[in-house]
Amino acid sequence: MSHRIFVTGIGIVCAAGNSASETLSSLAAQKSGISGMQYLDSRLKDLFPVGEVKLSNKDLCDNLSLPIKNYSRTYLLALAAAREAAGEMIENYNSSRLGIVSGSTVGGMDLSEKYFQSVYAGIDADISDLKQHDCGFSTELIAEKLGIKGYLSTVSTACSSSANSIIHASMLIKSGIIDAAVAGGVDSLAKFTLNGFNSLKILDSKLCSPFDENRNGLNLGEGAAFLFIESERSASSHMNDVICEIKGFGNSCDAFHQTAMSEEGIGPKLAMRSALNSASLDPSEIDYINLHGTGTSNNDLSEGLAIEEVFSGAIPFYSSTKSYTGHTLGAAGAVEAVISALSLKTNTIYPNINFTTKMKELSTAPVSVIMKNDNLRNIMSNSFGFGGNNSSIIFSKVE
Amino acid sequence: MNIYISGIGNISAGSPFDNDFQNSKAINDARILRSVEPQYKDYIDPKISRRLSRIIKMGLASAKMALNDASVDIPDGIITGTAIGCIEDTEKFLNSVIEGHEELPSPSAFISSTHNSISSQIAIALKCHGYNSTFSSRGFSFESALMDAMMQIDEKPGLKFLAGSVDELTDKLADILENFEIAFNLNLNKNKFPYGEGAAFFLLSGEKKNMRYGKISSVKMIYNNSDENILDVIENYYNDNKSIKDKTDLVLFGGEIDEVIPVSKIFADCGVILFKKYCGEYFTSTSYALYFACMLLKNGLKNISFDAGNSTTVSKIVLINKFNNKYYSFVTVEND
Amino acid sequence: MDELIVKLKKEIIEQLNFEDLSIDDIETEGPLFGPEGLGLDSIDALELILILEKKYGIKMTDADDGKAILQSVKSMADFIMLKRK
Repeated sequence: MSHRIFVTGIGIVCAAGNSASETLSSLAAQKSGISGMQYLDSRLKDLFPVGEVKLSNKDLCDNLSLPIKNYSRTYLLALAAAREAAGEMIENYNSSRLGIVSGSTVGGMDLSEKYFQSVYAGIDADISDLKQHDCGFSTELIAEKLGIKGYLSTVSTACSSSANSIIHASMLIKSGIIDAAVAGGVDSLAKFTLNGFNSLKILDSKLCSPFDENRNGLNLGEGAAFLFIESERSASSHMNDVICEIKGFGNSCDAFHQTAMSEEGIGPKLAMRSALNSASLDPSEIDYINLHGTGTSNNDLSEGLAIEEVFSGAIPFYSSTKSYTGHTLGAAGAVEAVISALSLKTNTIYPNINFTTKMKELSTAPVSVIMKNDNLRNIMSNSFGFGGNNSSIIFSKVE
Repeated sequence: MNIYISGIGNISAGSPFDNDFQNSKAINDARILRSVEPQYKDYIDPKISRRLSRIIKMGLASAKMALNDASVDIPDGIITGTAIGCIEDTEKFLNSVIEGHEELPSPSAFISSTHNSISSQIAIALKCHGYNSTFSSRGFSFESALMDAMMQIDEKPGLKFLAGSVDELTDKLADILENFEIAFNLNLNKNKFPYGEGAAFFLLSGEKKNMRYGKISSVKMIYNNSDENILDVIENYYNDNKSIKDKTDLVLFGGEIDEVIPVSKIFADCGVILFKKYCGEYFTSTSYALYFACMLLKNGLKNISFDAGNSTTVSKIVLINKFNNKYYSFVTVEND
Repeated sequence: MDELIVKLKKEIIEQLNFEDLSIDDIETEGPLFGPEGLGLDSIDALELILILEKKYGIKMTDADDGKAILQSVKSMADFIMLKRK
C-alpha cells in the first residue's frame, strides 16, 4: 500500500498576507510584513518592530462570520488559516477519518494576560477568558467548526510546534488511523512572549537580517498556517489537485541547553539527516532549504555550520523568509511549509531581504535576490526550537 | 500494534495497594490531592536542580525511575504529554511582566515556562538526541504521547521510547478550576473527586523480550463533540471492536459512580475500579490508570477494593477515561 | 565593601535560585562561570545583569567588558563601587 502523503490544501494568515495569495504577492514583491505594533498594547511598542497580522480581532471575527466576542486572537487566526486550507473540500470527507493536529507555544496567552492585567488593575474581568488559555483550546473549537472527529491533538514544542504537528499528522495517515488531516499551527503576539524574548536580549530593534554577519536578533511575529494533507489514495479518490508531497521528515533533540543551540548544531544535523534518510534522498538532491534563520547570533551560526557539514560538497540554495513574516513561534513550521509549497508551485526561491554581508564562519551565503528555478523539486524546511526541539521536513514536487 | 512496557515511573498521591492510603483523609476529605514527591537529589543533579520548577522535577524524576526500572540508560526517544504545562513558571513570568509594567522581567522563568521544557530537560539530563516531542492537548495530552510513541515503535520495533505525562496543580489553578465549575456548570468533576496532579512515565518497546509488565494492545481516542451520553460512547466503541472487549478481567474507569454498574455489565460483570479516587481529576490522569494497570498485572489483586464486580484474576485490563465528557480514551493492557 | 559583597552574594543566591547554598559557600574572588566555579551559564549572566540594573540602578553598556565585570563577586562589587563615584 502506498504510504505517500500529499498536500492538497494550504492556508495562511501572517504579517505578509491574510491568505496564501496575499502572502505570495508579498514574497514576489520582496515586501516585508514587519512593521510597528498596531494592535498589541505594549510598553515596547516603539522599541521593536513585529510581524503583526494586519487585521484587528474585530476584522477577523467579521471575516469568519463570528459574533464579536472575547475570542483569543490565537483561535481567530487559526480558524481563518484552517478554513482556507480545508476549504469546501472537507465536506466530502468522512469526519471520522479526518484529523486535526495543531501546534502552539503559548495558546491563548494574548487573552489570559489581558485578564490578569485587569485583575491587577482592580478592573472587573471575565474569568471565562481563561478557558481559552491552554494550547488545546483552539484545536478543539476548530475541530467542531470544521466537523473533524477522527483525531484531535496539539503539539507544543516551541518554535518547531507546527512542524511536529505536520509530522505527527503524516504518521497518523501512514498508520491508517486517519485518511486526511488539517495540520499546522498558530501563535499570536502577546506581551508575555515579547517581554520573554526581550529579557533574553535577542530582539532586533530594526528589521531582522537572518544569516547576516551583522545580524542583531529576531523580530517576533504572529500567524497561523495549515496544510490539508491526505494519503495518495484519498487524494485520488477525491480527485484533488496535488500541490506537493511530504517526502520525508526528521525530528531530533539538541539536548544541550534550554535556549541555546550547541555551536556544532548536533540537533539540527541529526534532524536534517534523519529527514533525508526518511525521504531516501541524497543531500545533493535538495534544491533549496527554507531556513529556520531567525536572525539570532546563536541559531544562524549553528544552523549554517550544520548545513555546510550535512550538505558538504553540494550545498543547496537557502534563505530565511522570517524577514517577511517575523518569527511566528509555534506557527513557524507551518508558515514556512506553506511558503515552501508556494515556492514549488511557482518555481521560485524567495530571498532573504535585508541581507548584506556573508557570515565569516560560513563559505556560503543565503539567496538574496528573487530566483526563478525550474529545477526546484525537493525543498527542505527547518524549524529549530527552544529546548532543542529540531525538525526538518522535505516537500517535493509530484511529477 | 503491540507495544511492550518494560519500565514504569510514577509520582502521585499514593499507591492504590496501600490500605492506609485507601482509607486516608487525603482521598476521602480533601479538595486537592497532592503528589508525594521523592527526594529529587536521588534522580537529579543538584547543580541543575535550581533551575527546574516542580513540574519539571516531577517529570524528570519519574522518567528516570522508568529508565532505571527498565535498566535502560538512554532511550531512542522522549515524548511527554502535559495539558497545562509549566504553570508555575508561566505565572511567575506573567506576574513579573504585569507587576513590573514590562520593565526588567527575569529570563529564567520565561525559558522554563514553555510546555516542552519537561521533555527537553529530560533529554538534556540524559544527553538523548533522539526523537523528542510534547503534546498539550487537554484530555488527550498523554494519549497523544502514547500514540506517537506507538507509531514510532511500530515503524522500528527495536526502538525504546520513553512516553509519559505530567500535570501539576497549583493553588491558583485549583481556584480557577473551581470557579469554572461554579460559574459554568462545567462538569469537570461532578463526582467531586479531588483535583489531582501527577507524573508517570513508561519505557516502551516493540520487542516482547523487553516486556516486564504487560503489552498495550490497543489505544483509541474519541472526541465526543456530539455530546453523546458516556454509556452510548462506550457501547458504540466496543460494539465496533468486540475482540477488544472479550475476556476483560478488570476495568479501570475514569467516569462517575452511577456509571459503574452499566460499565461492568458491558464487560460481563467484571470488576470496575474508579481510579480517580486515588489520583484525583486532572487532564492526564490516564497515565495514572496505566501505572495502576501495570502494577496490577505484575502484583495481582491483593489489597484492591472494587467499585463493582468481583474479578479474581487479572491478565487483561481495559482503561476507560473521560475528561469533561468530550475526551474519551480507551486503552487495553494485558499479559502476553 | 564587605557589606556590599555580602549583599551581592545574598542576591545571587536568591535570583539564581541556589536554595542549598549559603553566603560562605560562594568564594568572593572565585569564578562564577564555568565548572571550576558556580557553573553559571548565559541565562545566569542575564540574571546578574538584571541584579545590577534592578538593585543598583547600573545599566551595562556595550563599552563595558561584561565578561570581566561578571567574573566574580569581587569584580561585580568593584564595578558597582566604580559606577557609584
